[in-house]
Amino acid sequence: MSRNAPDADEIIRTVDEFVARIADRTDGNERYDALCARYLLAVLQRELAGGAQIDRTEHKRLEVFLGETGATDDLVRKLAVAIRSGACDARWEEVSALVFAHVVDNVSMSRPDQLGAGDGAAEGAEGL
Amino acid sequence: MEQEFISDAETSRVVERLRTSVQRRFGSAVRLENVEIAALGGSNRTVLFDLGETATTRRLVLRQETYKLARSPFISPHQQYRLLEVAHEHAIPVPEPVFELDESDDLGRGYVAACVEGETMPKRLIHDSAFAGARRVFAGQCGEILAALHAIDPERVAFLEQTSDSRDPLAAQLDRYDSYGEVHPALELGFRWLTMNSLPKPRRRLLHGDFRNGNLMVDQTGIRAVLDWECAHLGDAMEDVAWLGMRPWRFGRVARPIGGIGLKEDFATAYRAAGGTDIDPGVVRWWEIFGLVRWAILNIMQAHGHVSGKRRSLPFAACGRNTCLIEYDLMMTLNGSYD
Repeated sequence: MSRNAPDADEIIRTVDEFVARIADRTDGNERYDALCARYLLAVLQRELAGGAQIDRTEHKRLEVFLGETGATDDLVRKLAVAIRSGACDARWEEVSALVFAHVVDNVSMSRPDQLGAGDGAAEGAEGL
Repeated sequence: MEQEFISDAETSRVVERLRTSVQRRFGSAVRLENVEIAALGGSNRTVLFDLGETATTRRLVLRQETYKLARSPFISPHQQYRLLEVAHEHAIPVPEPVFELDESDDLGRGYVAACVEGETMPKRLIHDSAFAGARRVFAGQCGEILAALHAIDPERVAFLEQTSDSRDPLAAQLDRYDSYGEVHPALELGFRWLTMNSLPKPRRRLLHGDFRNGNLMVDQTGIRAVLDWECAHLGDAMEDVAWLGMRPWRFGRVARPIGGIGLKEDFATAYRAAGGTDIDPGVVRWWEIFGLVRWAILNIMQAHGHVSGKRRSLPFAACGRNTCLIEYDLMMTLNGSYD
Protein backbone atom coordinates (compact mmCIF):
# COMPACT_ATOMS: atom_id res chain seq x y z
CA MET A 1 0.00 0.00 0.00
CA SER A 2 1.38 3.37 -0.92
CA ARG A 3 1.89 5.96 1.76
CA ASN A 4 1.94 9.69 1.76
CA ALA A 5 5.04 11.54 0.65
CA PRO A 6 7.77 11.84 1.72
CA ASP A 7 8.81 8.21 1.29
CA ALA A 8 11.32 6.52 3.63
CA ASP A 9 14.34 7.53 1.58
CA GLU A 10 13.20 11.15 1.51
CA ILE A 11 12.58 11.13 5.28
CA ILE A 12 16.14 9.95 5.86
CA ARG A 13 17.49 12.64 3.54
CA THR A 14 15.44 15.28 5.34
CA VAL A 15 16.71 14.28 8.78
CA ASP A 16 20.25 14.03 7.42
CA GLU A 17 20.09 17.58 6.09
CA PHE A 18 19.08 18.77 9.54
CA VAL A 19 21.84 16.80 11.28
CA ALA A 20 24.38 18.10 8.74
CA ARG A 21 23.48 21.66 9.75
CA ILE A 22 24.03 20.75 13.41
CA ALA A 23 27.41 19.22 12.55
CA ASP A 24 28.42 22.37 10.70
CA ARG A 25 27.67 24.76 13.53
CA THR A 26 28.97 22.75 16.49
CA ASP A 27 32.26 21.29 17.56
CA GLY A 28 33.65 18.81 20.03
CA ASN A 29 31.38 16.04 21.25
CA GLU A 30 28.22 17.42 19.70
CA ARG A 31 29.79 17.59 16.24
CA TYR A 32 31.14 14.07 16.67
CA ASP A 33 27.68 12.81 17.68
CA ALA A 34 26.18 14.54 14.66
CA LEU A 35 28.73 12.90 12.34
CA CYS A 36 27.93 9.51 13.88
CA ALA A 37 24.22 10.20 13.37
CA ARG A 38 24.82 11.00 9.69
CA TYR A 39 26.86 7.82 9.32
CA LEU A 40 24.05 5.73 10.85
CA LEU A 41 21.43 7.37 8.66
CA ALA A 42 23.52 6.53 5.58
CA VAL A 43 23.72 2.89 6.72
CA LEU A 44 19.94 2.84 7.13
CA GLN A 45 19.43 4.34 3.69
CA ARG A 46 21.61 1.67 2.06
CA GLU A 47 19.87 -1.10 3.98
CA LEU A 48 16.47 0.05 2.83
CA ALA A 49 17.72 0.11 -0.76
CA GLY A 50 19.70 -3.12 -0.90
CA GLY A 51 19.42 -5.04 2.36
CA ALA A 52 16.67 -7.44 1.29
CA GLN A 53 18.58 -8.55 -1.81
CA ILE A 54 21.74 -9.11 0.21
CA ASP A 55 19.79 -11.18 2.76
CA ARG A 56 18.38 -13.41 -0.01
CA THR A 57 21.81 -13.97 -1.55
CA GLU A 58 23.36 -14.72 1.81
CA HIS A 59 20.61 -17.18 2.67
CA LYS A 60 21.21 -19.07 -0.56
CA ARG A 61 24.98 -19.17 0.02
CA LEU A 62 24.52 -20.56 3.52
CA GLU A 63 22.09 -23.24 2.36
CA VAL A 64 24.51 -24.40 -0.30
CA PHE A 65 27.49 -24.50 2.07
CA LEU A 66 25.71 -26.16 4.98
CA GLY A 67 23.50 -28.41 2.83
CA GLU A 68 20.38 -27.57 4.80
CA THR A 69 17.57 -25.05 4.93
CA GLY A 70 16.30 -22.81 7.69
CA ALA A 71 16.06 -19.21 8.77
CA THR A 72 19.14 -17.15 7.92
CA ASP A 73 19.95 -16.39 11.58
CA ASP A 74 19.82 -20.10 12.41
CA LEU A 75 22.09 -20.95 9.49
CA VAL A 76 24.62 -18.28 10.49
CA ARG A 77 24.60 -19.68 14.02
CA LYS A 78 25.17 -23.21 12.69
CA LEU A 79 28.04 -21.94 10.57
CA ALA A 80 29.63 -20.28 13.61
CA VAL A 81 29.30 -23.45 15.67
CA ALA A 82 30.77 -25.52 12.84
CA ILE A 83 33.78 -23.21 12.47
CA ARG A 84 34.47 -23.23 16.21
CA SER A 85 34.20 -27.01 16.47
CA GLY A 86 36.72 -27.53 13.67
CA ALA A 87 34.12 -29.11 11.40
CA CYS A 88 35.07 -26.66 8.64
CA ASP A 89 38.84 -27.10 8.93
CA ALA A 90 38.99 -29.37 5.91
CA ARG A 91 37.04 -26.80 3.88
CA TRP A 92 39.06 -23.79 5.08
CA GLU A 93 39.29 -22.00 1.73
CA GLU A 94 35.64 -22.60 0.97
CA VAL A 95 34.45 -21.40 4.38
CA SER A 96 36.80 -18.41 4.22
CA ALA A 97 35.29 -17.39 0.88
CA LEU A 98 31.79 -17.77 2.32
CA VAL A 99 32.60 -15.65 5.39
CA PHE A 100 34.43 -13.08 3.30
CA ALA A 101 31.35 -12.66 1.09
CA HIS A 102 29.26 -12.17 4.26
CA VAL A 103 31.68 -9.52 5.55
CA VAL A 104 31.80 -7.74 2.19
CA ASP A 105 28.00 -7.60 2.18
CA ASN A 106 28.06 -5.97 5.61
CA VAL A 107 30.75 -3.50 4.58
CA SER A 108 28.69 -2.62 1.51
CA MET A 109 26.00 -1.46 3.94
CA SER A 110 28.31 0.30 6.43
CA ARG A 111 31.10 1.79 4.34
CA PRO A 112 30.97 0.75 0.67
CA ASP A 113 33.70 3.30 -0.08
CA GLN A 114 36.12 1.10 1.86
CA LEU A 115 35.69 -2.02 -0.28
CA GLY A 116 38.91 -2.73 -2.10
CA ALA A 117 40.43 0.41 -0.69
CA GLY A 118 43.03 -1.78 0.97
CA ASP A 119 44.03 1.06 3.18
CA GLY A 120 42.78 0.47 6.64
CA ALA A 121 39.05 0.11 6.47
CA ALA A 122 38.67 -0.61 10.12
CA GLU A 123 39.09 2.69 11.85
CA GLY A 124 36.01 2.12 13.94
CA ALA A 125 33.97 5.06 15.09
CA GLU A 126 37.13 7.04 15.70
CA GLY A 127 37.74 7.15 11.99
CA LEU A 128 34.50 8.89 11.14
CA MET B 1 33.85 7.86 23.21
CA GLU B 2 30.99 7.81 25.65
CA GLN B 3 28.40 10.50 25.37
CA GLU B 4 27.91 12.01 28.78
CA PHE B 5 25.29 14.48 29.85
CA ILE B 6 26.48 16.50 32.83
CA SER B 7 24.03 18.75 34.54
CA ASP B 8 25.12 22.07 36.05
CA ALA B 9 24.30 20.66 39.48
CA GLU B 10 26.50 17.63 38.85
CA THR B 11 29.32 19.85 37.61
CA SER B 12 29.10 22.02 40.75
CA ARG B 13 29.07 18.92 42.94
CA VAL B 14 32.20 17.47 41.29
CA VAL B 15 34.01 20.81 41.41
CA GLU B 16 33.22 21.38 45.09
CA ARG B 17 34.33 17.88 46.08
CA LEU B 18 37.47 18.25 44.00
CA ARG B 19 38.22 21.58 45.73
CA THR B 20 37.88 19.90 49.13
CA SER B 21 39.98 17.00 47.88
CA VAL B 22 42.94 19.14 46.76
CA GLN B 23 42.75 21.48 49.77
CA ARG B 24 42.86 18.47 52.08
CA ARG B 25 46.13 17.43 50.44
CA PHE B 26 47.81 20.70 49.52
CA GLY B 27 46.46 23.11 52.13
CA SER B 28 43.44 25.36 52.36
CA ALA B 29 45.21 28.16 50.53
CA VAL B 30 45.35 26.35 47.17
CA ARG B 31 43.00 27.53 44.47
CA LEU B 32 40.99 25.43 42.03
CA GLU B 33 40.62 27.37 38.81
CA ASN B 34 39.75 27.01 35.12
CA VAL B 35 37.84 23.77 35.61
CA GLU B 36 36.87 22.09 32.38
CA ILE B 37 34.91 18.85 32.20
CA ALA B 38 35.79 17.00 29.02
CA ALA B 39 33.01 14.56 28.28
CA LEU B 40 34.89 12.17 26.04
CA GLY B 41 35.88 8.83 27.56
CA GLY B 42 34.98 5.14 27.38
CA SER B 43 34.10 4.75 31.04
CA ASN B 44 35.91 7.70 32.57
CA ARG B 45 35.21 11.34 33.16
CA THR B 46 38.12 13.67 32.57
CA VAL B 47 38.20 16.92 34.53
CA LEU B 48 40.94 19.45 33.76
CA PHE B 49 41.78 22.10 36.33
CA ASP B 50 44.46 24.51 37.51
CA LEU B 51 45.83 24.01 40.99
CA GLY B 52 47.00 27.42 42.15
CA GLU B 53 49.52 27.66 44.95
CA THR B 54 51.21 30.79 46.26
CA ALA B 55 53.44 31.48 43.30
CA THR B 56 52.79 28.65 40.89
CA THR B 57 49.93 27.09 39.03
CA ARG B 58 49.82 23.51 37.80
CA ARG B 59 47.38 22.17 35.21
CA LEU B 60 46.11 18.82 36.45
CA VAL B 61 43.64 16.23 35.28
CA LEU B 62 41.19 14.13 37.28
CA ARG B 63 40.36 10.75 35.76
CA GLN B 64 37.21 9.54 37.44
CA GLU B 65 35.57 6.20 36.73
CA THR B 66 31.93 6.74 35.81
CA TYR B 67 30.86 3.29 34.77
CA LYS B 68 31.97 -0.23 35.61
CA LEU B 69 31.35 -2.75 32.86
CA ALA B 70 30.48 -6.36 33.49
CA ARG B 71 33.41 -8.47 32.21
CA SER B 72 35.31 -5.24 31.81
CA PRO B 73 38.43 -5.41 29.66
CA PHE B 74 39.77 -2.45 31.66
CA ILE B 75 41.87 -2.55 34.80
CA SER B 76 40.81 -0.53 37.86
CA PRO B 77 41.75 3.14 38.36
CA HIS B 78 43.89 2.03 41.31
CA GLN B 79 45.89 -0.29 39.06
CA GLN B 80 46.17 2.41 36.40
CA TYR B 81 47.54 4.81 39.01
CA ARG B 82 50.09 2.22 40.17
CA LEU B 83 51.18 1.74 36.56
CA LEU B 84 51.64 5.48 36.08
CA GLU B 85 53.85 5.49 39.17
CA VAL B 86 55.96 2.60 37.90
CA ALA B 87 56.20 3.98 34.35
CA HIS B 88 57.08 7.46 35.62
CA GLU B 89 59.76 5.97 37.85
CA HIS B 90 61.25 4.29 34.76
CA ALA B 91 61.33 7.57 32.80
CA ILE B 92 58.61 6.48 30.42
CA PRO B 93 56.73 9.60 29.31
CA VAL B 94 53.41 9.54 31.18
CA PRO B 95 51.30 12.14 32.94
CA GLU B 96 53.01 12.45 36.33
CA PRO B 97 50.77 10.83 38.95
CA VAL B 98 49.80 13.31 41.69
CA PHE B 99 47.34 11.54 44.01
CA GLU B 100 44.73 8.83 44.05
CA LEU B 101 41.17 9.43 45.20
CA ASP B 102 40.12 7.82 48.45
CA GLU B 103 36.77 7.30 50.14
CA SER B 104 36.76 10.64 51.92
CA ASP B 105 36.94 12.44 48.56
CA ASP B 106 33.49 11.06 47.74
CA LEU B 107 34.34 11.18 44.05
CA GLY B 108 34.32 7.45 43.39
CA ARG B 109 37.35 5.70 41.95
CA GLY B 110 40.01 7.67 40.11
CA TYR B 111 43.18 9.67 40.34
CA VAL B 112 44.77 13.02 39.60
CA ALA B 113 47.77 13.38 37.33
CA ALA B 114 49.64 16.19 35.59
CA CYS B 115 47.99 17.49 32.44
CA VAL B 116 50.27 17.07 29.44
CA GLU B 117 49.64 19.57 26.66
CA GLY B 118 49.65 18.43 23.06
CA GLU B 119 47.53 16.70 20.45
CA THR B 120 46.10 13.18 20.33
CA MET B 121 43.82 13.40 17.28
CA PRO B 122 45.38 10.99 14.74
CA LYS B 123 44.27 12.84 11.63
CA ARG B 124 45.81 16.10 12.85
CA LEU B 125 49.03 14.31 13.74
CA ILE B 126 49.11 12.69 10.31
CA HIS B 127 48.24 15.71 8.18
CA ASP B 128 48.88 18.97 10.05
CA SER B 129 52.11 20.68 8.96
CA ALA B 130 52.67 21.77 12.58
CA PHE B 131 53.54 18.16 13.41
CA ALA B 132 56.01 17.56 10.55
CA GLY B 133 58.92 17.39 13.01
CA ALA B 134 57.04 15.05 15.34
CA ARG B 135 56.21 12.76 12.42
CA ARG B 136 59.89 12.34 11.56
CA VAL B 137 60.68 10.92 15.01
CA PHE B 138 57.35 9.21 15.73
CA ALA B 139 58.17 5.61 14.76
CA GLY B 140 61.57 5.72 16.46
CA GLN B 141 60.11 7.17 19.65
CA CYS B 142 57.43 4.47 19.66
CA GLY B 143 60.23 1.89 19.46
CA GLU B 144 62.20 3.47 22.29
CA ILE B 145 59.18 3.83 24.57
CA LEU B 146 57.91 0.29 24.00
CA ALA B 147 61.40 -1.15 24.53
CA ALA B 148 61.66 0.72 27.85
CA LEU B 149 58.21 -0.43 28.89
CA HIS B 150 58.93 -4.05 27.97
CA ALA B 151 62.16 -3.93 29.97
CA ILE B 152 60.37 -3.21 33.27
CA ASP B 153 60.58 -6.12 35.68
CA PRO B 154 57.10 -7.73 35.60
CA GLU B 155 57.46 -8.35 39.36
CA ARG B 156 56.99 -4.60 39.82
CA VAL B 157 53.49 -4.92 38.41
CA ALA B 158 52.64 -8.36 39.71
CA PHE B 159 49.14 -7.07 40.53
CA LEU B 160 48.39 -7.46 36.82
CA GLU B 161 48.93 -11.23 36.99
CA GLN B 162 45.29 -11.88 37.81
CA THR B 163 43.70 -9.96 34.94
CA SER B 164 42.09 -12.25 32.40
CA ASP B 165 44.22 -10.85 29.57
CA SER B 166 47.39 -11.73 31.51
CA ARG B 167 46.22 -15.25 32.32
CA ASP B 168 45.06 -16.29 28.84
CA PRO B 169 44.56 -13.51 26.28
CA LEU B 170 42.76 -15.66 23.73
CA ALA B 171 40.37 -17.14 26.31
CA ALA B 172 39.73 -13.61 27.64
CA GLN B 173 38.60 -12.42 24.20
CA LEU B 174 36.45 -15.50 23.61
CA ASP B 175 34.78 -15.09 27.00
CA ARG B 176 33.92 -11.45 26.27
CA TYR B 177 32.74 -12.21 22.75
CA ASP B 178 30.45 -14.99 23.99
CA SER B 179 29.05 -12.74 26.71
CA TYR B 180 27.55 -10.36 24.12
CA GLY B 181 25.53 -13.14 22.47
CA GLU B 182 26.29 -12.02 18.93
CA VAL B 183 27.27 -14.33 16.08
CA HIS B 184 30.21 -13.28 13.92
CA PRO B 185 31.51 -15.99 11.58
CA ALA B 186 34.59 -13.89 10.73
CA LEU B 187 35.59 -13.75 14.38
CA GLU B 188 34.98 -17.48 14.67
CA LEU B 189 37.41 -17.97 11.79
CA GLY B 190 39.89 -15.67 13.52
CA PHE B 191 39.59 -17.61 16.78
CA ARG B 192 39.92 -20.92 14.94
CA TRP B 193 43.04 -19.76 13.09
CA LEU B 194 44.61 -18.45 16.30
CA THR B 195 43.88 -21.75 18.06
CA MET B 196 45.26 -23.88 15.24
CA ASN B 197 48.42 -21.75 14.96
CA SER B 198 49.09 -21.18 18.64
CA LEU B 199 52.46 -19.77 19.68
CA PRO B 200 54.89 -21.13 22.26
CA LYS B 201 54.55 -19.54 25.69
CA PRO B 202 56.37 -16.19 25.57
CA ARG B 203 58.51 -14.46 28.14
CA ARG B 204 56.11 -12.21 30.03
CA ARG B 205 56.47 -8.45 29.83
CA LEU B 206 54.49 -5.46 30.99
CA LEU B 207 52.29 -4.45 28.04
CA HIS B 208 50.44 -1.18 27.60
CA GLY B 209 47.72 -3.02 25.70
CA ASP B 210 46.50 -0.04 23.65
CA PHE B 211 49.70 1.66 22.49
CA ARG B 212 48.83 3.39 19.23
CA ASN B 213 48.15 6.65 17.44
CA GLY B 214 45.25 8.16 19.38
CA ASN B 215 46.54 7.27 22.83
CA LEU B 216 49.78 9.23 22.52
CA MET B 217 50.02 12.90 23.47
CA VAL B 218 52.22 14.53 20.85
CA ASP B 219 53.55 18.05 20.48
CA GLN B 220 55.61 19.56 17.67
CA THR B 221 58.77 17.88 18.94
CA GLY B 222 57.37 14.37 19.35
CA ILE B 223 55.66 12.10 21.85
CA ARG B 224 55.12 13.79 25.21
CA ALA B 225 53.07 11.17 27.05
CA VAL B 226 51.60 7.70 26.77
CA LEU B 227 47.95 7.83 27.86
CA ASP B 228 45.11 5.38 28.53
CA TRP B 229 46.59 2.53 30.50
CA GLU B 230 43.27 0.75 31.06
CA CYS B 231 44.21 -2.24 28.92
CA ALA B 232 47.64 -2.91 30.48
CA HIS B 233 48.46 -6.53 31.25
CA LEU B 234 51.32 -9.02 31.15
CA GLY B 235 52.15 -10.93 28.01
CA ASP B 236 54.15 -11.24 24.82
CA ALA B 237 55.96 -8.01 23.85
CA MET B 238 54.97 -8.70 20.24
CA GLU B 239 51.33 -8.13 21.21
CA ASP B 240 52.08 -4.42 21.76
CA VAL B 241 54.27 -4.30 18.63
CA ALA B 242 51.58 -5.84 16.43
CA TRP B 243 48.80 -3.64 17.88
CA LEU B 244 50.77 -0.47 17.12
CA GLY B 245 51.07 -1.39 13.44
CA MET B 246 47.47 -2.50 12.85
CA ARG B 247 45.53 -1.03 9.93
CA PRO B 248 42.83 0.66 11.99
CA TRP B 249 45.45 3.12 13.31
CA ARG B 250 46.84 3.96 9.87
CA PHE B 251 43.82 6.13 9.09
CA GLY B 252 44.04 5.55 5.36
CA ARG B 253 47.84 5.81 5.10
CA VAL B 254 48.48 2.15 4.47
CA ALA B 255 52.13 2.57 3.47
CA ARG B 256 52.89 4.09 6.89
CA PRO B 257 52.17 1.20 9.26
CA ILE B 258 53.19 3.01 12.44
CA GLY B 259 50.07 5.05 13.09
CA GLY B 260 49.78 6.24 9.48
CA ILE B 261 52.98 8.17 10.14
CA GLY B 262 56.10 6.01 10.33
CA LEU B 263 57.73 2.90 8.93
CA LYS B 264 58.09 -0.52 10.58
CA GLU B 265 61.82 -0.52 9.83
CA ASP B 266 62.37 2.70 11.79
CA PHE B 267 60.32 1.33 14.66
CA ALA B 268 62.20 -1.99 14.70
CA THR B 269 65.63 -0.33 14.55
CA ALA B 270 64.82 1.94 17.49
CA TYR B 271 63.15 -0.88 19.42
CA ARG B 272 66.23 -3.10 19.12
CA ALA B 273 68.66 -0.26 19.80
CA ALA B 274 66.79 0.51 23.02
CA GLY B 275 67.03 -3.09 24.22
CA GLY B 276 63.97 -4.64 22.65
CA THR B 277 64.09 -8.12 21.15
CA ASP B 278 64.26 -8.98 17.47
CA ILE B 279 60.88 -8.81 15.79
CA ASP B 280 59.68 -12.10 14.33
CA PRO B 281 57.20 -11.29 11.52
CA GLY B 282 55.42 -14.63 12.00
CA VAL B 283 54.79 -13.92 15.67
CA VAL B 284 53.73 -10.37 14.90
CA ARG B 285 51.26 -11.68 12.31
CA TRP B 286 49.66 -13.96 14.93
CA TRP B 287 49.24 -10.97 17.24
CA GLU B 288 47.89 -8.80 14.41
CA ILE B 289 45.16 -11.34 13.77
CA PHE B 290 44.57 -11.53 17.51
CA GLY B 291 44.50 -7.71 17.68
CA LEU B 292 41.91 -7.40 14.92
CA VAL B 293 39.71 -9.97 16.67
CA ARG B 294 40.16 -8.08 19.94
CA TRP B 295 39.42 -4.68 18.36
CA ALA B 296 36.27 -6.09 16.75
CA ILE B 297 35.13 -7.41 20.15
CA LEU B 298 35.78 -4.03 21.79
CA ASN B 299 33.53 -2.46 19.16
CA ILE B 300 30.88 -5.11 19.79
CA MET B 301 31.17 -4.29 23.50
CA GLN B 302 30.46 -0.61 22.85
CA ALA B 303 27.48 -1.41 20.63
CA HIS B 304 26.23 -3.84 23.28
CA GLY B 305 26.41 -1.04 25.87
CA HIS B 306 24.25 1.08 23.57
CA VAL B 307 21.71 -1.54 22.53
CA SER B 308 21.32 -2.89 26.07
CA GLY B 309 20.45 0.62 27.21
CA LYS B 310 23.24 0.73 29.77
CA ARG B 311 25.30 3.34 27.93
CA ARG B 312 23.27 4.94 25.17
CA SER B 313 25.57 6.72 22.75
CA LEU B 314 25.65 7.54 19.04
CA PRO B 315 29.36 6.71 18.73
CA PHE B 316 28.76 3.36 20.42
CA ALA B 317 25.94 2.63 17.97
CA ALA B 318 28.34 3.48 15.14
CA CYS B 319 30.92 1.12 16.65
CA GLY B 320 28.50 -1.76 16.13
CA ARG B 321 28.15 -1.05 12.44
CA ASN B 322 31.90 -0.60 12.12
CA THR B 323 32.63 -4.10 13.36
CA CYS B 324 32.36 -5.47 9.82
CA LEU B 325 35.11 -3.08 8.71
CA ILE B 326 37.45 -4.63 11.24
CA GLU B 327 36.31 -8.08 10.11
CA TYR B 328 37.17 -7.04 6.55
CA ASP B 329 40.73 -6.22 7.61
CA LEU B 330 40.82 -9.49 9.56
CA MET B 331 39.75 -11.53 6.52
CA MET B 332 42.20 -9.71 4.24
CA THR B 333 44.98 -10.43 6.74
CA LEU B 334 43.96 -14.06 7.16
CA ASN B 335 43.87 -14.68 3.40
CA GLY B 336 47.24 -13.02 2.89
CA SER B 337 46.00 -9.99 0.95
CA TYR B 338 47.50 -7.60 3.49
CA ASP B 339 51.11 -7.37 4.61
